[in-house]
Amino acid sequence: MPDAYALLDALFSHAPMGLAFWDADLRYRRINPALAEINGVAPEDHLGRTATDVLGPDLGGRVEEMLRRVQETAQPFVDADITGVTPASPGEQRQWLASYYPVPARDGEMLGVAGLVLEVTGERRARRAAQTATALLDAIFSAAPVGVAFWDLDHRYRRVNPALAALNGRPAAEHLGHTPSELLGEMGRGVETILREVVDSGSAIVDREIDGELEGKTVHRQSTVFPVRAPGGELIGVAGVIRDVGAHYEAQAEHAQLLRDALSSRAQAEAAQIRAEAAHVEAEAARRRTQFLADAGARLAAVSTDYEATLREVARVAVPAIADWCTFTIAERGDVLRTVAVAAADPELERLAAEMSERYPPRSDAPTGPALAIRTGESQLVEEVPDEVLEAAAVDDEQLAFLRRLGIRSGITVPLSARGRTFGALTLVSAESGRRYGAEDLRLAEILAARAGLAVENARLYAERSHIARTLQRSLLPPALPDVPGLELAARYRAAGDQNDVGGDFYDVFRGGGDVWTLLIGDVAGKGPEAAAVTSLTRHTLRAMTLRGAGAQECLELLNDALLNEPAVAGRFCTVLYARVCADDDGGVTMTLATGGHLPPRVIRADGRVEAIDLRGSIVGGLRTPAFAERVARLAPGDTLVLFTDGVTELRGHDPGVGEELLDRLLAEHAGDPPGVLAEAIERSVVALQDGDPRDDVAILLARPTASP
Amino acid sequence: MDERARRIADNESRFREINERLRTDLRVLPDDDAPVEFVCECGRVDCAEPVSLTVTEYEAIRASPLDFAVVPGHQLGDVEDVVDIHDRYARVRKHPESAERVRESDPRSD
Repeated sequence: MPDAYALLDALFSHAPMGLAFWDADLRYRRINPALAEINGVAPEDHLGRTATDVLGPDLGGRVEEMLRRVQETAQPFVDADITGVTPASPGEQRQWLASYYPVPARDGEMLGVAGLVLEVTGERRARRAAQTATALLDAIFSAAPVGVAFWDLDHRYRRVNPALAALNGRPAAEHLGHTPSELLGEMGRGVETILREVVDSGSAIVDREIDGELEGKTVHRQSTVFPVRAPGGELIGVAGVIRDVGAHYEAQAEHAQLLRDALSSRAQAEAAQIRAEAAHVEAEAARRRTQFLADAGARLAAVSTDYEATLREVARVAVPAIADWCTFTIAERGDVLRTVAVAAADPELERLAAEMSERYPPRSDAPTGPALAIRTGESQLVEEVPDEVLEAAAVDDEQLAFLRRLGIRSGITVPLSARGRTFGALTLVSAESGRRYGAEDLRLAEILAARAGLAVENARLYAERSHIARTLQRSLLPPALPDVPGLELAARYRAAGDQNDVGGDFYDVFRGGGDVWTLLIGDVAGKGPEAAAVTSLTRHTLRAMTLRGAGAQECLELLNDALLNEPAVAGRFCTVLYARVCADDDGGVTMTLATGGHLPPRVIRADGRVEAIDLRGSIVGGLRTPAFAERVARLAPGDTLVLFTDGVTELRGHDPGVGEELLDRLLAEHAGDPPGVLAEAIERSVVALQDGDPRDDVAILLARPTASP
Repeated sequence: MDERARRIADNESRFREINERLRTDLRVLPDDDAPVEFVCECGRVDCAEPVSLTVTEYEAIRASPLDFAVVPGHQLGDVEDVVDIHDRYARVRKHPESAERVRESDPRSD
């Protein structure tokens, strides 16, 4: 059997698996290099030793046990899995697949046991790793809180975890075999775009955001997609991890909006502060304008015939409130212009401006300034006055120098007009203040000019009316008391209020024929032209009737008829005290008195007593059938007749009746005084008792016989 | 330029400065171009309304130093002209007399 030995030797030497033969004592008799390498012990160190001797009690013991079992049963032990540690790899668990066969002799005697051992450690590990990986993948797919999917190269879902199924709103099973676009529409097309990129590039895409609509809701997802390759490197599909970042998006958007709102609120607050400051500035400017107009208005409202003085006051108010200097120019006698008011904030500036106005009076044909405003009736606003304007306005170098020294920066000229007539101009100039005039300033100047124009016009009308009133008033009173033989006369007249209306009181003294003189005093209801007409008619009627010889009572009756029958004075009436006096031989006078509703006259007797002459009679012009009566009274030498109107006794602030008591007391105190002194005392008392402003006209006429008692 | 026009120009420039700071601060936010309530840059002292603009719209207005963003109807015709109007805002341009002043105060000017 030499060939058999050779074959056995070759097999032992070259077989890639471990081979060994144990004798009947289960000691190594032969072992090949492969098994010796597995065991980590040289082949020769095995021979004659047991498995336990070589491999130790654990592994060696188990091998020996199996060998013994085969020897005893004569049955092979095939594909036994053996795990253990050999000296070849101390500390490392390794696996082998071992088969043991009985080796009998021809006679059936058991020679020993043959063994075949395959190293399977690597395969087992690989298998276990695969099993572990699969389990791990299953666990990840099942438990991952994010969506996980695997797509094949056709973009069809091959595996979907529950989380992704929930995100997509469909069971995982419904995904399998479908593409994302088939399942998810537009959103799915976005997914497929990414899958395509990964397949084409073979590279992963990390944290790619996908936004889209899914079942009517906007969804925001973030995907990481990567290629999946077979162990050989072949691309077999694409896997992805998908997260829903909608909540993150919402939180981020909400945070952004909050921040945006906060920033905006801060900006609005800053703006509100600026607007509040601006409102304060405007309010202050408006307050100053209003205050200025009030101040100027107060001066303009004062009724005065001296409008120039008024305009000077207004100009004074205008600086520095609205101008550095201010002038009023008035057109007089056709086209002659005169600067009637100049005011400046700076006294030196005012002096300069006044000097210039004097040396260079405004010309009516000047191309700018007041002359232009008066000619055109239009306002001029020059926001900035360049030097060229000054050069054009100056008539010579000296005036130009004046203008430059004034430092004019900005100017306004506004016409003064009233009743459709322009008669002057207001000029406001900004100089050292640097103020630039604008539309608001122009409006303010126009308001001021309108008021000033009206004030000037009113002053003119007032002066005119006052002149008429004074002239008319003078015509209704005797220019001077006549010299009456045997009588000393005195009279006072004071019109109430302003001098614009003709008063209603009157008195008169005239010769009635021979030595008879007539004294009249009366009070016409009302004031003004109508009252003046009644006064005139009354005086001249009584004069005419007296001269025609009518008696005192008859005169009043004729006057009553005249007033009632004169349409021009219809409805107006008056009171009259008529006294006809005639000198007696003893130096006294005899009086025939008649009253038409007038206050009883007083007589101050020489001994100081004060008597009221009792007279009764209707007002004149009030009744068709009046009742007049006359009586005779006498003034002895030293007596004084006191005729007066109700302005003497009806006093503002005093009860009715008090006035007559005060008069009687005054007359008693002044008994013996000359008529002129007494008349002045009465007037002074009336004025003083009414704080200098009598409520009614006052007329007083006194007569005293000149002969001594 | 009169006092009022100067005052208005200065106030509008101050509102523009506030909006520019707001615009700078908005850069930290996502660029979603959502409308933002900017300060109305009108010259009215009683204005309390924000003007709603996207950053893109705001930047378009800011491209001109003479232009300002106001709530529609808040323009002041005597000092500025409306050059563009939308539902949420109007774009006004200062009159020439105020141009130099607002140009000088433009934070984006060199």
